[in-house]
Amino acid sequence: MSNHDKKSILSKYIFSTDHKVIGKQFLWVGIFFLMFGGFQAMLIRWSLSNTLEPLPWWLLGNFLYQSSSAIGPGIIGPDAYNQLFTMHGTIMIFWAITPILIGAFGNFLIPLQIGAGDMAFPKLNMISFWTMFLASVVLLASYLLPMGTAAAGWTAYPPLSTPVGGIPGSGQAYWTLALTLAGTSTLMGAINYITTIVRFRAPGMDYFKMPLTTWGLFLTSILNALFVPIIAAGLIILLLDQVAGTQFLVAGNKATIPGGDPLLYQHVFWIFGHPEVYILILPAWGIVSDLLAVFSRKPAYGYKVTAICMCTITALSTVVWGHHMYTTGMSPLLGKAFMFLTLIISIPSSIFFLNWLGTLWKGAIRFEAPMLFAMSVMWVFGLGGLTGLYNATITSDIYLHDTYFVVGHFHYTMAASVLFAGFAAIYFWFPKMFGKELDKKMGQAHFWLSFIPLNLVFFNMMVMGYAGHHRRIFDPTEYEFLKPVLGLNEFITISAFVLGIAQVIFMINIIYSMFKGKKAEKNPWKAATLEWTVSQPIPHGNFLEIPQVYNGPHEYSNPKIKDRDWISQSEPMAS
Amino acid sequence: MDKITAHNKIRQNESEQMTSLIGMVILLGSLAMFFITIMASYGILRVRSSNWGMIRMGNLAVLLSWFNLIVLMGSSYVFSKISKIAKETTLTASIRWVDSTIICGVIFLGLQIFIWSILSSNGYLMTSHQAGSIFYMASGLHGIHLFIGIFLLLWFKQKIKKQEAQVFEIKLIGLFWHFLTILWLIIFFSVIIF
Amino acid sequence: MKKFIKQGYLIPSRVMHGIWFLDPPKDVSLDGYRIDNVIQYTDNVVLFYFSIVVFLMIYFIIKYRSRNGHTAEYDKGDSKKNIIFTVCMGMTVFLTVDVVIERMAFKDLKEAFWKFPKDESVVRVEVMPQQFAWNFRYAGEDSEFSTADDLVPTQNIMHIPVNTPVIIQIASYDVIHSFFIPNFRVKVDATPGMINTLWFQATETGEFEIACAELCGNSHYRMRGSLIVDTQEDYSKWLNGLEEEGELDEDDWGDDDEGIPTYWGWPWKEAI
Repeated sequence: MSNHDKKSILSKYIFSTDHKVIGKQFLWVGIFFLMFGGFQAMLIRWSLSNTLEPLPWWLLGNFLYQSSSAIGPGIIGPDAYNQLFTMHGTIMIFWAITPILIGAFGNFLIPLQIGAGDMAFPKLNMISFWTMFLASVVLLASYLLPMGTAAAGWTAYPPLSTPVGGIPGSGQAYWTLALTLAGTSTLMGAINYITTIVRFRAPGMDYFKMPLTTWGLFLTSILNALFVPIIAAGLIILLLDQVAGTQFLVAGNKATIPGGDPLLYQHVFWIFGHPEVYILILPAWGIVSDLLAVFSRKPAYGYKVTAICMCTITALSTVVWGHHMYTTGMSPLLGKAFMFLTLIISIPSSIFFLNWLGTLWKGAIRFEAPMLFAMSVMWVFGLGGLTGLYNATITSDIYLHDTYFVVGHFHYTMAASVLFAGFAAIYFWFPKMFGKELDKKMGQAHFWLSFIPLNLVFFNMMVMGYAGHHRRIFDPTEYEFLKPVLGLNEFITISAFVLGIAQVIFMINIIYSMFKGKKAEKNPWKAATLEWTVSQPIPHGNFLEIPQVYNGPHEYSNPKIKDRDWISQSEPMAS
Repeated sequence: MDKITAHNKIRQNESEQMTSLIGMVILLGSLAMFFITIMASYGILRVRSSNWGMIRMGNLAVLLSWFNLIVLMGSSYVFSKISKIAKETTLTASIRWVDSTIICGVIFLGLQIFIWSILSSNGYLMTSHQAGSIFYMASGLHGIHLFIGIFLLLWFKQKIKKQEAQVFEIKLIGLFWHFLTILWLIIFFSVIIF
Repeated sequence: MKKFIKQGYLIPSRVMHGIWFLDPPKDVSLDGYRIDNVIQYTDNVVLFYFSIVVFLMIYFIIKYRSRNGHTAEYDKGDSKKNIIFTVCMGMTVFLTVDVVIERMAFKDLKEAFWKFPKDESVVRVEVMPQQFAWNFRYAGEDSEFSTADDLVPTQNIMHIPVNTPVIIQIASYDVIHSFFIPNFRVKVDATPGMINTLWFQATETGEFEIACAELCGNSHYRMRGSLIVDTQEDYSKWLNGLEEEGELDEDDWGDDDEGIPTYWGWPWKEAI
């Protein structure tokens, strides 16, 4: 232990192998890209409602799109627009959500919540972060390319994403490489998380005594370990087509090597892609389940059933990928099978959603910022999940596929549910991570200014989609049938700007509170899980001695405890 | 060191071994998913094509590939000697077998590159046809991982010299090494021969 | 009951119209109503269940808010009774929502969308989207495609007769596109190297827009086509007015100066 004093800044903060430091490193990368991707969203909204008008100063119109190849100074043209939504989607999924929920909170919380001193493979953990850093460098480097970044959508379907598709420059290849590196980082993390949870749980910490946050991260890691390699293979095949002259994924007229199959990519992509969306949301479900318990002061209702439902959904998520491909001309039998399996997921989803309601029922609810965000996840996931039904059904999907309905649906389930769970997590664990409290008033303002505009933005997108507005359209005025929808575009943009400003409040809160915030006590939320039993600042090895776990993770309002309404997992219940 | 501390140290060591083993098994599971995807892509492209089987590599390339297969299988055999000798005598004594395995690996890679050059000069290129694309991709990806395996052995050899190595680590590296041999068997028979 | 579902009632549509306050484009197809119906039914059940959830949340927030003298009840919700209740509720949602829309969809697919018309009057069109236009092809007198008497109208303009089934086969020239006619509620992807088939029937004459519904490059946003539904007479007149493509000296799928492929076209893929 004495060696730690002798560590240089390099090994203590830069190349640290301590999971808490690495978790924070992922948090900074994730938050940076969250703001980056969010800014891109503002640019997209501007372009949609003020097409071809120069960007205002507050959207950096004096700096962006100035080069001679642009349509005009500060003007987003169709090429730039395609690049914008491509990078926005890619960044939000792989560079914002994944680092924040899985990289940051996975790293920070797993050892603490199970009573371990660190991850199973601390050096691998460190390499995993720096691989992500390298991936980020490659991705951002594509912005310096003369022809611009990738522009084939975050899905990058070939042949569009191959040279045959006509997207100029090597931005698309940089994208493929960056994503492969990001996947490698995630894979390393998955190996670490699974091994740590399997091997390093403290005595008494049975699987069904782990917090649901850990369950979510555990299941996510299993999916990551199995499916990230699949997309890695797909990306390598795509990369070879992009740079080595192969044509695995090119067919038809433009193919010089016969025998390629564009649909091969779609299958490989979505075999990964569907589990990926569950990878993103499982930690969110776990976090919400735990937070609802803490702030209702009662155990998570049906804890074991919830955990089993999460496992069931994890398993089912692996066999439903075809519902992203209903319009590709697959055989009817296959389509029906995918539809049936997709709809089955409703059952465990409704069950654990009911359990969330059950946690609130007969509770003593406190409305702190983490709880506001956790409850809002119930709302947005309720809507997001229910609107999945329209997409699951083949017939309604024929109409709604590739319209803004889908965009609204996935923003409700990803941008809203996962992001708000991420916000809830940041508000909840900030005191433990940084020893300071976040300002409460700013937290409330951030919540309301995010929650309401978000609904106004994405619900209306679903309305637009129902009206037939198809996706990835630079200028909707090209179509007569979209005329009734144009006004809604303006309204959505204004709501989106308000949503954007709310995040500025959030950033100010974080930066201010980290330095000047009120010092936090060891357990400000009176929570029962193990991470709240460690002292501040958390020492290397986390626990002075290995904790012995006696209780479940949500022992709130247990009548056996007389003087308070909670008891920690490692505190024996005095008889 | 008294008996209890020694006993605890052994238990802790066994525990660490199990942890590393689990990590390696998960890694191999992931690699398996990766190569399954590559092979499934091969299968799909091949099934849909009409003339795949008619594309030939040429007798010399195939013959050398058979030889190379034996080299790689031999490397696995030689590798198995490492832990045998390490357990029977000392780790230091097993360095010869580590070296031999590395040599087999290097021969394999070198010969594979030579086979590539024969094929390219005969017009069998990565961009000639899907069969070529699949062959170079599969053998290339396998080769990259084998290269990593050789690095692991070199690193392990250094550890032995510095007296920091442990016998069970051979098992870990062995899982990776034999995985690659088995993978090559699959690639060889389904891509090169079939 | 069946009649109610078929006509899109379960709760009068006027009441439930409010969820999506913008209408989809006017449906002028024979079977588009099926899609509108299943969306309508899903709207109704989604509204029903979500309202319950919202009501419960608001009710719980008010009734169970933390205040002096109010404590939470230590209920883990893991008793057999609780579990049976939640599982039953889950199954209820499944039976009233998922199973119903699945039945509706399967029925519609079997009766309409996957049941390709076989009679003589069927109009067949080959569609080939490219970056960034729609190409159409009609079999000429010989009723065979990819022959010298094929008729190829100007790009982006497709004519069909009203009240007649139309089957299209579609394959892309370059990248993946998607043939979307909002007024008909139909959509099918066009993949290079693969031929997909779709059928629909117009119930009204008029001019309707075709949109590309799969990102295909920088001008994806203005890959607009026109579907013109004529009376039978007008359609025949238009068809006769088209010039035959002529002798195929070379099946030229390559770009000519204007980038418009010529002599594309494939023998009609049989056995749907």
